[in-house]
Amino acid sequence: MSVSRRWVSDAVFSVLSVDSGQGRQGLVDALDYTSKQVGRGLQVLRNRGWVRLDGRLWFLTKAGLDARESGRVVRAGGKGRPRGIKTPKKRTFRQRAWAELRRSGKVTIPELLLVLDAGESKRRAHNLEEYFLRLEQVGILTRLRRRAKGGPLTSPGHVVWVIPEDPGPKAPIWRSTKSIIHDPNSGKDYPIEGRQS
Amino acid sequence: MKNKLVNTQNVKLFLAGILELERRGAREANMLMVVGDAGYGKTITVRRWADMSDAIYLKGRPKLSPNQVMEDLIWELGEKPKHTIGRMEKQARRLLMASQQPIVLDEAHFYLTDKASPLEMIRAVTETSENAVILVSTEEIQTTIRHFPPLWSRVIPTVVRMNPASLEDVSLFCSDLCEVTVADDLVREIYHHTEGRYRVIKNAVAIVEQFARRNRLERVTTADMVGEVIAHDWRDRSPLKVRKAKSRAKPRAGSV
Repeated sequence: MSVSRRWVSDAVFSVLSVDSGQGRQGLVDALDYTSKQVGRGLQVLRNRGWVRLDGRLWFLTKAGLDARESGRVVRAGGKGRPRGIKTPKKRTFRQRAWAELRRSGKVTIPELLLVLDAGESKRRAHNLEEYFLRLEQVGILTRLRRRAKGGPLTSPGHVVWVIPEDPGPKAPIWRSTKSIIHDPNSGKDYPIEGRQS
Repeated sequence: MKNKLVNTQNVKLFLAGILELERRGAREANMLMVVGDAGYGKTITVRRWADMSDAIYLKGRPKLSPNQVMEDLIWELGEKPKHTIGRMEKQARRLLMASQQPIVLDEAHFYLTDKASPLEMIRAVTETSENAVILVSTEEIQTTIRHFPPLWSRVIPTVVRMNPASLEDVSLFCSDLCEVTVADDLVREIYHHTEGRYRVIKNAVAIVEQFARRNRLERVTTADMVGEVIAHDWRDRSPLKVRKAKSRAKPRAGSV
């Protein structure tokens, strides 16, 4: 039977004590796991600072004892719900578009796509349209009254986007699940239904 | 019309200049000059490169001071500028060392005002980290910067000169951007009327495409478009029409 090592860690954690140490073979005999599994489990506990090795014997540390008494268990998985806003590490397409919008001062989406080498991509165009519309809703972007010429014969032209007040070099982040725009330059959040007061 | 950048001679020249800058022998010579008149693709080429290399892009403006330059630079590097010029200089050095981003100075002639103190400030903060600095301006900057030997010595000998489009460039524009086939004689006609200015060439290509759509043509020749307005003179905005084949013996004044 294959067992997640963290569950093995849980089992090992439950049998160790502060005062009397146990060797690895002893743990193997007591818990009915292989030596390799027990070894990995001990490593997990050691990484948390809950066990220590003294000679060839494993002891529970004070921190480990406190953790066990408070009901902590060792399980696989993440550290719980995400906390804080994560800014993307690599340059995303929207970040590149934001940088180019700031460089040019005012721009249409086709011009942006041209500079960003995505001129033929409808997916990219739609991505930017959606993003800019959200930024417009919260006042970070605005559109000029006149449109730029272009498009099919009957087209009224392309919208020209402008930043009325430059918030900074970091692109605003559209958090669609929370319906807010987060500005990483100032740390402010703008609810999409209205502007921040 | 397709929306893509055409790999013209000017683009190739620019990339060759960048390569020259990266391969330079003297480490302190970290500046490259890109010069050319308006309409030859200077700005779009540099902006495209700035996006690809994640460069810091600063634009010169009248009455620029070293203080303003430092504030702009630090703001672009993502921090709030400190209050004094000395502290801003240290702050900028630290940030540039960490990011190693190249810097593009558009309208670079404005950085040569007040005895070139704005550009001297840029030189001072990029000296240690050797960040590449691209100076974009008109031809006159070459004359002006020579008056400042400490700066002039830091510009690499290769100057990227953005030239008017050649016939090959116009042909490339037509084949890469136009949704219909443009015959060679019409390409020559476009070349003749546009005088190598990329904006005008692009407009001409758009006009040819619209003409083709209206008349349901897949291939357009000079004969199809005789008498049609193909471009407008960039000086006085007068319309320029496609000529008949036999009247093309004399070239227009000022054409290449």
